Amino acid sequence: MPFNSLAFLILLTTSWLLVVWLRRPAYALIVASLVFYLFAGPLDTTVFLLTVGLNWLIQLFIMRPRWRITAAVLLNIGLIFAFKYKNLLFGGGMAGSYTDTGLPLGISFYCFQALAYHIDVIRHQAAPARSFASFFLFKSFFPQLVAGPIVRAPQFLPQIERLFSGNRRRLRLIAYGLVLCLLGLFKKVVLADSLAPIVDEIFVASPESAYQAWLGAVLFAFQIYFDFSGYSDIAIGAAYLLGLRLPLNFLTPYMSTGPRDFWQRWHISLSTWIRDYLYIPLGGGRGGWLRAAAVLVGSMALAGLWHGANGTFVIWGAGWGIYILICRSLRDRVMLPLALRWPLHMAIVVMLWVFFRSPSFGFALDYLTVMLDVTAWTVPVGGISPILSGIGIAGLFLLHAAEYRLNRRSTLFVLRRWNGPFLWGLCIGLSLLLILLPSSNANPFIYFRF
Amino acid sequence: MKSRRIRLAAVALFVGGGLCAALMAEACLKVIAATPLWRVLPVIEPILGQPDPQTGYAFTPGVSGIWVRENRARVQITELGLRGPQGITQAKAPGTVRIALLGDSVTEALQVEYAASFGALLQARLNHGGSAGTEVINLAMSGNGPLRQLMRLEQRGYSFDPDIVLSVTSPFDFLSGELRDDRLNPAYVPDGSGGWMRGYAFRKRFSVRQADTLAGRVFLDAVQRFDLVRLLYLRSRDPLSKLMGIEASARAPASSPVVADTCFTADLRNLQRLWQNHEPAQDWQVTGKFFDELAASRAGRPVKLVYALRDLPMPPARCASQRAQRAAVIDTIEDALATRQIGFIDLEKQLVDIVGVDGSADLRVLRGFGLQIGQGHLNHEGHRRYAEVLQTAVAELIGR
Repeated sequence: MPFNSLAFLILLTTSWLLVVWLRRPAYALIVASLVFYLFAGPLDTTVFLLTVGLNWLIQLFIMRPRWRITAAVLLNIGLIFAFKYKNLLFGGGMAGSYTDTGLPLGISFYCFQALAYHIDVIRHQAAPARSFASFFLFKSFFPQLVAGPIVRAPQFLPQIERLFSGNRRRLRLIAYGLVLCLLGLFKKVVLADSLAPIVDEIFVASPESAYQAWLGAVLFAFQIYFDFSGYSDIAIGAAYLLGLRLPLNFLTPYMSTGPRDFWQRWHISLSTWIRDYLYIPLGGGRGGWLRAAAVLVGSMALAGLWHGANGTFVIWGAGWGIYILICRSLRDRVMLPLALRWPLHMAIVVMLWVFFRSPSFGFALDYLTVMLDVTAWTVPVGGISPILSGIGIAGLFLLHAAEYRLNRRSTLFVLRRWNGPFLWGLCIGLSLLLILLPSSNANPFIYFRF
Repeated sequence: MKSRRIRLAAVALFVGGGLCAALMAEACLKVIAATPLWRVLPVIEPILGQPDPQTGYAFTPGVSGIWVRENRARVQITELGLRGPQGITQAKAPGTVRIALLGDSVTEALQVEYAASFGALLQARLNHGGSAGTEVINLAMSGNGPLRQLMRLEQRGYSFDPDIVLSVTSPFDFLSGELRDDRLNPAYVPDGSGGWMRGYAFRKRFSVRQADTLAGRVFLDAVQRFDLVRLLYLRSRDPLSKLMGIEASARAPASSPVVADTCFTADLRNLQRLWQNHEPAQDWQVTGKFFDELAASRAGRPVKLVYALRDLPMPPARCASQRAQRAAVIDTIEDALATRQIGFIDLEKQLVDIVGVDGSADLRVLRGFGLQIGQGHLNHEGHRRYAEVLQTAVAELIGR
């Protein structure tokens, strides 16, 4: 069920009413989550229910930490491997490539979440779920089910347990939740879906000039940001409406000035997952330079591989690892002024996105060759003029900067002051109209594919 | 009492918020449409016409908007209710040659600006080199099959006093059955004595019945004037599954292999059945009736009727028997038109010759935009080529 659909709006409204009226709304949310996931189809639902059930059985029957971790890794990584990566190793096509939609919906997210849960419980960083129902809702809470943010048991499970306790809740952040939902819908419906046809045309037909190649890559950088952060905003906003708090997933990443800064702002729940459950356990920055470099690049390459069984994702991740490594090595020797550092950093970010969007490594290399061929800086016949595209891209960066201001704590105070029926009516009205806006072609959220 | 008042105030504030949202959305959509943002950001497609008791549907004079399907283009209907050109007058200036262009959505060409449509390009080509004095009046409308074209010619076309009437039509329109189905548009129905007459069952439809009432006019005005009303109206016509987003969640079914009919055997066989074997009989009868009425519509006017058949598939050279079959069909059509003193242009063959390709399959590049090249309506190059072909044919008729 896409977030930008009337069905989701109805489900969310019904769930909200139940949360307001019922003393113990947890079971209503379980039913809502099942309804939400049933839209994906019977196969996806069966795989999901089996995953939740088996993870619960692991917790119930395997007591020794080492064995439990092994079983959890075998189950969750095994499932991701079975659906996503078997073709990469055994042949049979590019399952998991950018355009692939044949995976069970959200499998990468809910398997990672389950794995993190077992690790946190074994490390005593989180208390185990008290019942299967609370474990089920922790895993299936519908706003975050299919594309994150990847929630952690220490922060999220206690909130879930409270839904079973019958304690009275005060939904004080309704206005904030509604504004986040509205912002997310705006990013997805107005911005990401409008950029998609231009980007697709450039990437499918291959760019004719450096100008077109840069235009395609920059617009894709914004498309994927607006698409995914839009989804996350709706997920977080919807959770606020239901009285739960999800972690922040994006923090204006294109305002970053370096690779580390970028990953502290982009898909934060995945980058912290990789850091806490992969990078640090593998040794992190400890040991010699070579070992630290291998761990860093390897972790980032695996983060890339998480997106799909395509070499381009691995190169994208490894590219980030190398970029972080280079910046780390040069940190004490070279310090560029911000006016130079930011454009250079953005150029590298945009070039790395080319690997992410390309169907193959060869295509990406050809694309980058055209990008770097500054002698071929011509505007194709019938293409968007440089002035218009320059204004457009500047506008996108301005919107991004405006979002940076919106993310501040003061916004919350302003919204709490305005919290009331007028703001609710305004946000719900605008959200409804955004959902009704026509779309020339079906554009599912990009991260639904992972 | 006090709590009831508070509750009412809350409801009023909520509704007020919703109304503010509507006003904001309307303002935003107007700003998008008025600035270059219309090329990228969401816009609501225009409703360019209204129900018409004579022809089923007619353009609303002066209405404009941004066409969004296949390719975005600004479109404006003239004050005389035509696709174009703007500024044309009802009365013909002395010495002017007027060509009334009939057709369906391909000729209407909403996917491109009017200046890039083959009607406008044809006029520009004919007037090239200072020999001004030819006007191409585009009377085409989406969904206009042969009979609706004829009725539009009778209702509006002849009033412009044209010298040439040029209809660009697909031969498959005579096979689709729409010439015999008057539920949505005028069509031929049995007259009870073995013949056919024009039927108007569509007039019973709610939209046609209400079109001329006060409520109907107010509704139509609101739909054409306000983006938001139009958005709600258009979405209300979508199936519930699309509205709910269920279609977007469903997985695409596995595609089954399709064997391409590269020699167009089936298409040509169907055309041969109609034009040479006169089957299906009813289709053949209404086809004959239509051409008789088209020829008779001149009623003594000194006007040349020309039928340009598009999309009559040209098989590649290796499909020799199908090419011969096509030639036989063309001869039959040409003879049938000649007996009624209607000229004929084999548009597809001339396109194949001008573009220099082997057959119709290679002409697909003239259709579609962006990633959809090969499917849909004519693109800019397609319109250019159509104009090129028609110029040669029309220049002969008007002696230029």
